[in-house]
Amino acid sequence: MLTHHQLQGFLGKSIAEICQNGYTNVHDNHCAHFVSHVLGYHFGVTCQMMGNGKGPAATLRVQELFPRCHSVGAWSLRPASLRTCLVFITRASNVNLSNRSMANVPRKHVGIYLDGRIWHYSNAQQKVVMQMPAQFAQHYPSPDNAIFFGTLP
Amino acid sequence: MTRMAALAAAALALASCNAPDKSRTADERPRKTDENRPTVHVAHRPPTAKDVVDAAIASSSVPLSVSSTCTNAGTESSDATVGRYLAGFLAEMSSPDKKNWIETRIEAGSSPTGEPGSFCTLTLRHEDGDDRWGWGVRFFVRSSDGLVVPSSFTCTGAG
Repeated sequence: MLTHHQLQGFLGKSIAEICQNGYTNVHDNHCAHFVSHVLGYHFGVTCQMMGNGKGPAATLRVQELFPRCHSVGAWSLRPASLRTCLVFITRASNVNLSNRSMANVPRKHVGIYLDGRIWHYSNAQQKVVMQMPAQFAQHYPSPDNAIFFGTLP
Repeated sequence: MTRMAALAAAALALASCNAPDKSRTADERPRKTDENRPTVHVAHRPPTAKDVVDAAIASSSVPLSVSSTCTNAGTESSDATVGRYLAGFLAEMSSPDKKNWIETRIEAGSSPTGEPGSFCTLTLRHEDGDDRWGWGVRFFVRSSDGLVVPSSFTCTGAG
């Protein structure tokens, strides 16, 4: 079970400190990559396939995480009992909730929600950050800032 | 760089429309394969950066089904070819006040069957704060004749 203490251990770390497969180019987007290393997801395209190491593989793409969530929905409608989940931000029209799909549009992002806080990889700051949901909602300007929850795959 | 992206997008669009190339002789024109796609050869061995861009444009009809790395990689679920996939990201590079660039990489290597050649990567990059991405293709060019191997295409990128 994921804990606040575990997530705090990643705070401030760059992707080079997290990934052992050399997939650490600062010009790439590492949001799904970070989430997948923390939670152990290794389906679809991984850093082991695209990198050059033999470390744990981690999923690289947001649109491959989203359909793996057992339940997805608008952030405002997430169950009150949901203490831990994935949180996605993108334009609402990029998401199809009925078939749990997300297009591979450029402006999409994912983080880990736990008990009122969100840990995610800031590609601009090149490190893991922690924010409150209201701050996370400003990650992209409108209209690319619709937020969705996804139960952990 | 934004202008370059626009030019590349235009070139891709032309390639996908199969515009006839009257400047080439019949022997120089791309030949059709069994799958009715033109075979593509690079101009130099090993390929140059320009050859990598040219090869990607000329390979626009390669289907995304060529690799599991290209599954759902297009900006629209209906995208079915390398051309549509790259065009989707090139179209996102249209703002003149954002940072965009095209990156190429050429590495010597061997195909799974042991043929020597070059692994070529074309990446379209964009940076605007946290709006940061690099999507593209990687493919193998055979040393013996400069053939761009269609089945070698993979889609690169994360996020």
